[in-house]
Amino acid sequence: MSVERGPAARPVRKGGRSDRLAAVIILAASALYVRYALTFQPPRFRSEALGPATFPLMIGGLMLVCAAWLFIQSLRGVEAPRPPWTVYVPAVLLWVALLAYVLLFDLLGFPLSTALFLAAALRLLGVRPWWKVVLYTALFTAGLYYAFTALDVRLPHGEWLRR
Amino acid sequence: MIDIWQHLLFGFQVALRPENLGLALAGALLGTVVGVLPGIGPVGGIAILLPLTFRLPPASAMIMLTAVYYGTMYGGSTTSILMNVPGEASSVVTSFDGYAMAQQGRAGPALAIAAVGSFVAGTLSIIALTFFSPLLAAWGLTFGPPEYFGLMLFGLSAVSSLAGESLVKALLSMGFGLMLATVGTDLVTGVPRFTFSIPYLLDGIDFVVVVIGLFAISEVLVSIEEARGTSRVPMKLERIWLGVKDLAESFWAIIRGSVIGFYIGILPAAGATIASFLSYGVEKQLARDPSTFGKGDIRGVAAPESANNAAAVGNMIPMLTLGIPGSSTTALMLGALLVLNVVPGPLLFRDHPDVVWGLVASMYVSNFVLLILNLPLVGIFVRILYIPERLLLPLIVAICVIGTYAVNFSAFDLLVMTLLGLIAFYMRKNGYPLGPAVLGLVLGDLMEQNLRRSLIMSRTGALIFFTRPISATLIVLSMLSLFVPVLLGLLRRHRPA
Repeated sequence: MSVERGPAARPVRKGGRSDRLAAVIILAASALYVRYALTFQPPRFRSEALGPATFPLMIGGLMLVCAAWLFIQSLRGVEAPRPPWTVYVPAVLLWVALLAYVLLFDLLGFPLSTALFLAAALRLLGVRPWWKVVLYTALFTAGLYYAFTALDVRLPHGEWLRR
Repeated sequence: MIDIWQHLLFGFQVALRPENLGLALAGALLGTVVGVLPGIGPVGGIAILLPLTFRLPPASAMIMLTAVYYGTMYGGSTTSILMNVPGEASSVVTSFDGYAMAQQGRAGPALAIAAVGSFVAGTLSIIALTFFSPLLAAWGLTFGPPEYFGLMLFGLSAVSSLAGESLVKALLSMGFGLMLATVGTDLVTGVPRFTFSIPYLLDGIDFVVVVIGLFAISEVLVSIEEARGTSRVPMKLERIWLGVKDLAESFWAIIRGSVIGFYIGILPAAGATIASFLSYGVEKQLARDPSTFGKGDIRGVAAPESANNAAAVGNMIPMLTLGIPGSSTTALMLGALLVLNVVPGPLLFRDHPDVVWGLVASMYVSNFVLLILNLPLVGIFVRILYIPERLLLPLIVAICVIGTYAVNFSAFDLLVMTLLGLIAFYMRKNGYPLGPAVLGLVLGDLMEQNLRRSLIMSRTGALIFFTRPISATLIVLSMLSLFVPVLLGLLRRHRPA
């Protein structure tokens, strides 16, 4: 349990500007969630003790209360010293590469999109020189393709081939 | 009682079939590899391997899953002994004395005692589970919807109140999981909820997709962000051996660790981490010379390793008998069983004893498979530690993508996984525990169903939860587990220092 408490016990961050921003975003998202839930109409001819909206409204209420609580807590809190934002750049870049990968997955097909992603990710994480990037990309892509095809997973070859 | 033996015998017959034994071996191997991998914890690891089991018959899938589950735990202790990098919170304690032993050139005995301790503790706890769970399941048969609702509420609030450094963040995480659970067509009224008119969302968001996004993707992002040029080199390992003296010294530590672990494991939200810390503390207290702890005392490895394995088994009891998981890992197992159309709970014990005892038999078998697999092969697993992260992490991401795609063959699922990965990355970096989110996700539907059924059978509305003694007790306990820590905190603040 609480796997995320993690080995590297991170410093306790209490409150501060970042929590306040998060609280505002959660408040807004929960308000939208509640508004959406209020539009659910139970079917006419069935009388249920609990309509489709009730449980979501309970959750939305809990979220609104907790977000407000987080906001109040953050007013008292002090922003913990944070590492410079540049430390997040590689992780965020990898995430952007992943986003491009999944958006292009159907269009380019498994082999091409995976190769492009792997090449980008390997390069991003510091694999040099280029021939190594190409070698690992080819190895991994082929290995994954054959491993998963052997497991009966049908991987798309790409819509662009059919055009 | 005779029934249990018959079913268990039948379970063993199923688990020992060659193809199932092969799957147990494969699962144990894959689980250990995943557990050893840096940048991927046990929950993320199991999540990635889940799609592999979908095409198997339920019994085989369960056997493979339990083997994977055990494998990740063995793998986690290997890295904490050899690299001082615990793969999971429950093997943090192991690294205190385990890494110290490795530094003194005693990595072999440390790994061996971890394996032996885990095996003994695992087996003892499974025996205890064999006798204990039918009793709990029989009691569970008397539960109606209000009791189940109370039980789930208690599970959620206990996990949230113990999960992290901030209660409000744990509750927000739980609410997030519950919100995800409400997406899709409402089962009772047929009303589409939170689908934004996207047809893919009518069936709800697949559990596996969420878990891979929340645990695996975010874990990769965190390890990219935290690795930053540090290279970690494992300690040298000559050969695995264990002297009689080592074994004699750790004997009672293993037994005590097993007992502590098992009982702590049954409690919701307590689980392996607390059990490992507690058993380490107990051994240190009982030792004639406590100063050797932290400097490579073999009991400091034996006790927590036994305790966390025993707790992992104890953890399965409420999940199997009542259908209420008490931790992220058991929530994941519950989700996996639900995918296989196996619904854990007292009814499973009554109506499908073959499934229950097949699962229990497979626990005995995987535990044994891991012992004989791990001792000779640990040298090979250690090699994995030499593969640099810059090669592993892109590969892990690609495996996550294919695994997620294999669930429904839908690229939309991939997008959901990617977005959840980013959200979970933010949560991890800002002190939001992920355990409550998974629990909320798994329990959301069941909670709503039981709330509905309670209100339908009730003539007094919501009062039904308070007029039935068990549900009332559980609801009061839930409230206490949430508010007592807050009140204590307030008291402490107002007391002059």
